[in-house]
Amino acid sequence: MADSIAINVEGVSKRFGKTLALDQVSFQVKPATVHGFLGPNGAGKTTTIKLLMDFIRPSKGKLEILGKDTRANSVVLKRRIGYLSGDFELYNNLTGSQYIKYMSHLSGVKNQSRTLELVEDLNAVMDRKIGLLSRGNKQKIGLIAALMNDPDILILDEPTTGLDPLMQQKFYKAVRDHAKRGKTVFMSSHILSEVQEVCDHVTFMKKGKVLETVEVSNLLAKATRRVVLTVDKNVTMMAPPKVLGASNVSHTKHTLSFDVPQADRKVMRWIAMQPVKDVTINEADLDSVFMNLYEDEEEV
Amino acid sequence: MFRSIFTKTLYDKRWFMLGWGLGAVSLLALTAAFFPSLSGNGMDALVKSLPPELEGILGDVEDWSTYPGYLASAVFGLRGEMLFVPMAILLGVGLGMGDESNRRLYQLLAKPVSRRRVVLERWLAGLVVIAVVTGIVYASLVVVSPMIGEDVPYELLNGITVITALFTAALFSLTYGLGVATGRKNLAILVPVVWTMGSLLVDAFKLQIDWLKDLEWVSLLSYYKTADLVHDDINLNHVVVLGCIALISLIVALIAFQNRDIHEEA
Repeated sequence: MADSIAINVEGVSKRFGKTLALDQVSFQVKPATVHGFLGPNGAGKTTTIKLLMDFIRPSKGKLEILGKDTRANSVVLKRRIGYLSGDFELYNNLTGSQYIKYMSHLSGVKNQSRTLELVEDLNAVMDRKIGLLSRGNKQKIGLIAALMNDPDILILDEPTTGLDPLMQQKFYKAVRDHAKRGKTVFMSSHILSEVQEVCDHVTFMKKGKVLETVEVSNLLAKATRRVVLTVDKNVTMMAPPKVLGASNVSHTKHTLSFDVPQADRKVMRWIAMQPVKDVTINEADLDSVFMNLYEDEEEV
Repeated sequence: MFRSIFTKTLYDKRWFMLGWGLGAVSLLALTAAFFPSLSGNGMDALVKSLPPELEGILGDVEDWSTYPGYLASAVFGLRGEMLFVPMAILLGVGLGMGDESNRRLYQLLAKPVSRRRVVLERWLAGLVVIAVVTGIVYASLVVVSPMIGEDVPYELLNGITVITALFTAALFSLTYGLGVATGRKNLAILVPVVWTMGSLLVDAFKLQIDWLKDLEWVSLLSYYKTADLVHDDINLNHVVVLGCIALISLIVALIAFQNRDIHEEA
């Protein structure tokens, strides 16, 4: 495998009894990027992550991290990996400090400066029993444990599950800061805004298969913009002309809404000629792309 | 206490050790303390009134009239099994399946520790817990015996402690090994419970039912005969069998855990 690949998943299938959870999954993650792993519940995201972490073993295929087989080099690789799951469980009978101390010893982390830095940045509660902490505070301790060894690869499985928006923002910042240090982050999620906010690339999963892996910026460039025009009472507006490439046109008493591929000069000139009171153009987001990919999925 | 899985496991089990230690002292040392009030004519009459068929369960009832015999038969022979069988099974299930069923094993295995290390260090911690509990019982009998005017039968007590610790370790290892190897908590509990119950039945009825005598070697309890230690040294064959159960269970656990998936719901 080339050095330019941090994670390589090649033709991986996983069967649980008669259920085929993953079917010939292949994708690659580039180093020093934040790579999103997106899909609805049951798509196979967690199964793939458990395979990468060597918690479970593939029925078929190859998994490599930093050019090493994940099973044969499990212990060696974990010195360079940080892992956190959104629904993780800690030892409730320990305090945050005791837990971090235990994890430091297991990880062989001797220099505690990074840990102290994280405790301060995240404002983590370290002196209370973990069982008495809120979900958000437990998650902070989990994140400190994942980042304490300054891992080259950070693997996160729906890490913001159950976190309030403020905590989510802190979390995104920690992830972005880690990536800025030249590290790789692989993060599963079913929250579009999360992926859009922090990821450079995204792999879409559906029913145990990879749909596609794309750059988020390319994807957003392809995504439509939603234009909403508000008008005064008793003013009738005509529909946008075809030349604008508008779609999903809808009217209410005071508004006209439609999607355009780009809010370019052509669109702006047409809007300027309309008797509008207010104009809103929403930024492109992954929602529309996601909905197109998963339109037959009820859970989305 | 947080330097290794071994010491962390001991920290987690500190209340278990204390609880079972105190429980064992309450049951065994207090039973021993009742010897003066039972010895003498009362005990002789009781011994004479018991049918010889009960020997399968109670050991040689003639031994009950002496303090060492009473310790070996009435104290450990009857109550030892009652105490150490559940302790071994609970300890085995707790150490073997606790973290997996609580989904804490993921956080542990996400760190650079091998699965073999996890299995081995927890097993060793389990052995230390057993040693501490049996040690507490030993110490309590050393203290109680002079208090009731009896000499401490050190040789017998050493033998009983060793075979009790070995028996408990074997049953713990079996439960632990099954749990770790399969990831199935129910199976890990069922097998040792059924084996122990079956062994009790074999022991109880072997004098009445001839063909059960041929099955005595299958009985786990036939390797835990504290009553025999009044007259004989520790049976080395019993030591070997119990040791083999413990070691084979550990080896199976090490091999199977290395190759299986961590279960979502253990």
